[in-house]
Amino acid sequence: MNAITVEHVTKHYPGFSLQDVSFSLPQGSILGLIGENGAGKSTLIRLLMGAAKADSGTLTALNTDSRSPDFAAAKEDIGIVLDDAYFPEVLSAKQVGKVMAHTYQNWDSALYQQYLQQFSLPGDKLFKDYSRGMRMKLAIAVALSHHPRLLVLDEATSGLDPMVRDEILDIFNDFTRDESHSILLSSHIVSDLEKICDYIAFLHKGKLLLFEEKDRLLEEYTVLRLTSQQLSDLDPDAVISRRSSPYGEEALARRSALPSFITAERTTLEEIVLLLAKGDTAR
Amino acid sequence: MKALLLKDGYVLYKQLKLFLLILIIFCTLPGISATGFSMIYVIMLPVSTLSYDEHSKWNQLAAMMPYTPRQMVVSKYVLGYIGAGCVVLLSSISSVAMSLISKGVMPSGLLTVMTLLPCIGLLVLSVLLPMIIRLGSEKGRMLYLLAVGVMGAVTVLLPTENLPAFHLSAALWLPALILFTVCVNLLSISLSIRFYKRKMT
Repeated sequence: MNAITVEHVTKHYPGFSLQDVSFSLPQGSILGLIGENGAGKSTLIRLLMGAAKADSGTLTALNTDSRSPDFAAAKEDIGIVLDDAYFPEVLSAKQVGKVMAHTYQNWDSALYQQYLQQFSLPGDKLFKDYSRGMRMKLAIAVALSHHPRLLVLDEATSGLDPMVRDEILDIFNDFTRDESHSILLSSHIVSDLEKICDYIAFLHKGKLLLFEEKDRLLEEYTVLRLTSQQLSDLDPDAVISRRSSPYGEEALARRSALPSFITAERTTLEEIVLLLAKGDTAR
Repeated sequence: MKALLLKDGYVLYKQLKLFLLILIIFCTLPGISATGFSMIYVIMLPVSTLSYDEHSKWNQLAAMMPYTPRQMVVSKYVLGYIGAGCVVLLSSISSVAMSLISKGVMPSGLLTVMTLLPCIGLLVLSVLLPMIIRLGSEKGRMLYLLAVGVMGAVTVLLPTENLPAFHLSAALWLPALILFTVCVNLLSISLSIRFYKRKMT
């Protein structure tokens, strides 16, 4: 069963288009949505959460169409964290908890208190006096305190120092220990996604360039550094993307389609993404 | 909707503690002008909360929480209704108490004024809210000032002494005014929800 299904979604804004995006997130998994700023990640999340309407295509979360009237009820089971916490600045964590207790039917005040303690968040301090790390931790505490089955996180780790990011990624990992829990995590920090994601979707200028299981991606794809002639001699189906550098040619290639005499080294997600974004796509 | 009203309550209390105190003092002062200015101020509170919501980007988060567009919009009107109700209640209690203490008779035009002022206030609110939801609080600022001017003028132009009692003609036009206010508010709510939904696309 899928926690999220996105099918042929298109959305046009002046100067930007999300074009025919399709992917799905199996229940119990973490999907990393990668893309540079302005690639369309936040637009896609807004569409998925019913905060905007797609021009065409369908988006479902927890088996409910985001455009259906029932989706407000489905949001009870979805924890949302945006790139900042966006609670009114004059509220304290305690007051945020009281507002949320009237927002979510499944709100668990004891669990919220537990998270406040775990994250060392002072309950009476005003939200505006929180550091960025504390603000994001508060947003995560809120997102987790109504027992969601799906977490949707839009740049939840951006702008945080590595220590806090690591702590937050651990929390997300703990969340998916329950097999009915799933996470959609958008970020432009590829290393974070490489650490915890099961699936990777790469959005570039509104187009989905890649959707693949992470382990398969790292196993199957490799980055080659060869001369232009050597690359041209390869099976065209093997080369996915290539770009010239002062030191020769770099290419993203499929390991399985390469001749045996070429040594294909294991690559990183960051290299794959960079070559897809900056190289000339062969396919 | 209770959550949204609670959130607005916290925000207003924290931001406008002193003004809320002044508002209560104004409500208890004798005379139409004081009640009128209290009404002007209280009607502007939902507009202020819209501005705070925009500033904190609360709307972006709320759109992804289990609030419906109807709840988001109606909560602002309800805030205005609660405010107007409080002004009427406090001012009425104060007027009756003052009259009883000084003369021992009830003020003759109290019912007229306490019906007229909230109706004018809620009519202004019903014009302001759709416009501000449509244009945003920055662009709506001019409308806001215009509304304050209109309500101020109405308050100043109303006679402060020898107010008309609740006589026959008032018995006809006051219910008509209430009905008109209710209809305009319902229309305004429907328009605001449409503008809010359009903004979300």
